[in-house]
Amino acid sequence: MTRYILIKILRSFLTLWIVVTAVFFVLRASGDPIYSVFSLGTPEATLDVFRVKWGIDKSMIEQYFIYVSDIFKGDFGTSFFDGRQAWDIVMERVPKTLLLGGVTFSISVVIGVVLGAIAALKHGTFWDRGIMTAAVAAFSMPSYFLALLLILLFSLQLRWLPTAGASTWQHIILPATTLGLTLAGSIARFTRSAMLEVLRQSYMRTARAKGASRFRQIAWHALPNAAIPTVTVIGFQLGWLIGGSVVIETVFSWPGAGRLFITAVGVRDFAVVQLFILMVASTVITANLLVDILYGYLDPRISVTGDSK
Amino acid sequence: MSGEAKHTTPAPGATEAEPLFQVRDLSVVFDTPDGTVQVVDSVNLKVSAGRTLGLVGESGSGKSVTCLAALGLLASRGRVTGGKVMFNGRDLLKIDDAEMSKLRGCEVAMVFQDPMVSLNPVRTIGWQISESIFLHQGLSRDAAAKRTIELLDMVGIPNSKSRVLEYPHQFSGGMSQRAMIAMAIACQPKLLIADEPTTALDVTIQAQILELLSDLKKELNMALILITHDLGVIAEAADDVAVMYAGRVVEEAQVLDLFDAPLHHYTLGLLNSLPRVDRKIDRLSAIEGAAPPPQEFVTGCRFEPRCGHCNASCTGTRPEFTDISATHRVACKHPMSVSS
Repeated sequence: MTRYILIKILRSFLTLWIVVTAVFFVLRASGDPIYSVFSLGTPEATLDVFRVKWGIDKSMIEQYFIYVSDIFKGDFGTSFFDGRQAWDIVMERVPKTLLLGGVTFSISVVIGVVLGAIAALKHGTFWDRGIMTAAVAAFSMPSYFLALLLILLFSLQLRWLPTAGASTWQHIILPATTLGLTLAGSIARFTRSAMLEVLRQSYMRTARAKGASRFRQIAWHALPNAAIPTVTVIGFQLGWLIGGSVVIETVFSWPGAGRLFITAVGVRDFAVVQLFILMVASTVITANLLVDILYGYLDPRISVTGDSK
Repeated sequence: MSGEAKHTTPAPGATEAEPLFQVRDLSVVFDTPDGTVQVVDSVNLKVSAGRTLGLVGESGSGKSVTCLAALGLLASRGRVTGGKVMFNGRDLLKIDDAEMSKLRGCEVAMVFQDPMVSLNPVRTIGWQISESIFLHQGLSRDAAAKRTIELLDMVGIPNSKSRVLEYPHQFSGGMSQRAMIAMAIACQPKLLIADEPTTALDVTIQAQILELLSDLKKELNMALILITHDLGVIAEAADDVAVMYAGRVVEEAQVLDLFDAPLHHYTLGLLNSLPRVDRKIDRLSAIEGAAPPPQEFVTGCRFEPRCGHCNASCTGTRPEFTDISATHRVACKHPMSVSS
């Protein structure tokens, strides 16, 4: 098991390196940041001063090595705009994003797993069809579209909830619902199919033959088995959640890192964009690593195959 | 449902007035997309404490379904459409779910065919066995753990103290089946139903498991129903035998009578397809044709399409049971002793 995890961690660093490199070169290929800051008539001499100051006067390869070695020193570069450390700028926004992501994620997991389990247990009935229709509708609708629908209904028509900002707790309801509905929909679908698979296994009949109550059969025998495939899928959804939150933060003017990212991309603020992507990649990789570890914990068959030889 | 119910003669295998477990005229249908099919048709079975009833027949003859239906363990597409299941004076088909749960795993237990898939892969063996104890006997955690180890010793699992912490995938097929048996006998049931308990196991392990079952039967004075398609298993372990074909019981006898003087042509066919060491047979004879699926069950004698001894009287009406002796009866219009 430890060896297995070690290999996974090494592989994670390789992935991170590839991401960092790709983003670095793609960003620079996208255009010169000088022109997104200064107007066309600015004298070349002024521009050159700033090129030297920002370090983009050197060759791309040189810039790359400086960038990568700085990362190891904990220096993620400076924003072209306010001259502050990219790290400080991004970290300022991260708590709000974590709040939105955390609330969304926990609520969707609970709702998704419960609804998915109900659909499986009521397989083929009105409940099953109703839940699954809602789930498919929720996750096939583009999140910005769902966001607009919710704003129209709850903010413009009913005037219950605010549409933008993050000053009160009510502000989180609409963005979290928008993101959460989509996530809960896909979690419900995966939970349902995992549960259906588990429910027809022979060991479920053994549990019944043992005299376990219906609740006990489900909670103690079925769910731990259904959790194995479901956890994997939920882990992968985390990457999707971050992507979705970039859009949703913008729609609802939520002051999180996602919105910062959109602005930074627009003006080619290299350091901020690079750091944001590096963080997203690390989060996704960490989530996958956690899924792997959790997987071994949930499924005794896995931890042993890793251990035995 | 036809004539079987009218019988009043003492049933084969009954050693006392009221057998512990008695299935009377049980019928089961399955709902399929193409309509309902009857898979069990007025089946009667009985078994008393301390005896083993062997229920033999081909796959799809309704042996397992009969027993699953009796314990209320049918999958949701199966339904009981008639009959009684008397256990200790109570009709199991009439009691509610909660009471049935109290009975299952406690007074009536079941062991299934494939132990490797009948154990929950994410729970330890010890957890699964002590669950039975916890559910029905309300012992403390420590006492249940102690009892679990005792049970593993009882079914012959070595190193029981460390093995309770292992998971099913760390157990071999034979050891898994022993663990299943330990789980089933955890509360000292009065009736144990073993559904093809040895089919998925190696031949050498089969004999050990059968011996274990019959030892436990004696020790706990249980009634044992042994479902199998293997007459070898019947010969080894059963006291009484009921032969099932296409959803009906066709012959009932004590085990020696059945092997000595089979009456139903199907029973004879089964016996002839078995290799014997005590007789020289040039080649084994197989029964022509295949057992029909429930959709193709005929109204008369269901073996008629494959039987070499049938005539016009075999079609149309269900053959009733003829009592040959107090313990031997057959549902055939031309049983062996008469027609051959």
